[in-house]
Amino acid sequence: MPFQLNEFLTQDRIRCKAPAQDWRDVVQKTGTLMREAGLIETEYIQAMVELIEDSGPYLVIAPGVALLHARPEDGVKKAGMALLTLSDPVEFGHSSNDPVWIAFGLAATTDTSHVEAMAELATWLSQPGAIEALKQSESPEEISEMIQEHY
Amino acid sequence: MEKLTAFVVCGTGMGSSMILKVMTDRVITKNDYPIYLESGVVSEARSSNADFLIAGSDLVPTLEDAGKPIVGIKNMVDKEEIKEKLDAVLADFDRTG
Repeated sequence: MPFQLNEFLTQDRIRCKAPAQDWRDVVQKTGTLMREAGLIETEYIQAMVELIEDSGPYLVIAPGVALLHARPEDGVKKAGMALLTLSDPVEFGHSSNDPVWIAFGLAATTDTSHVEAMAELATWLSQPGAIEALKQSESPEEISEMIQEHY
Repeated sequence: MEKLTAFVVCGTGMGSSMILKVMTDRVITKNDYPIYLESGVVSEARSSNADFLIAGSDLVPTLEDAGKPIVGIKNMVDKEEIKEKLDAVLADFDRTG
């Protein structure tokens, strides 16, 4: 069954305006949300860090937005996503999309269950003002409502 | 018109390439561009028979040895940027119709 975005990114996995020191801290905090939600094993967090160290900050997919993830075999327990927005932006070293205000953490399994959710995420983020609205959001409830409105 | 094949590249093929593929696919469909999309990881991109590669701009340096034209996209959810860059690559291939 493909997931819709509101099932893939539930309100309990969203945190707003969190403080973070640097990109590693962002990955750690997003990863912790994912682990607490039962999406991943602890080792997945280190794998997300290593992917950025090895492949560069290409995971910063749009201005201010990072899509953090590793591979299914790095410790995914259940497909899903978490979201952390930051109180102050953090540099990931991307040539044009820094600084990052919004970090999505993706746990994908080898099946295609996340494909529909990624398509919905693309639709959401490509709407004018969507990224700014996310950045300004004060609460997980507010973001959850934004997702519900779209889907 | 014979279609071009484009290969959407990601470090793992799971996350950003999925977003980029969805967005590129929408631009291709909307504008009826003669482009067929494939996707996968960097090593697959090097060995693929695709006419050109599409990747996040910061992945471009790791692909320069692939010997194919590369379209680097900065903002993966910006249809305008994707359209402009596909227009340019289509012009290079003389497939503007």
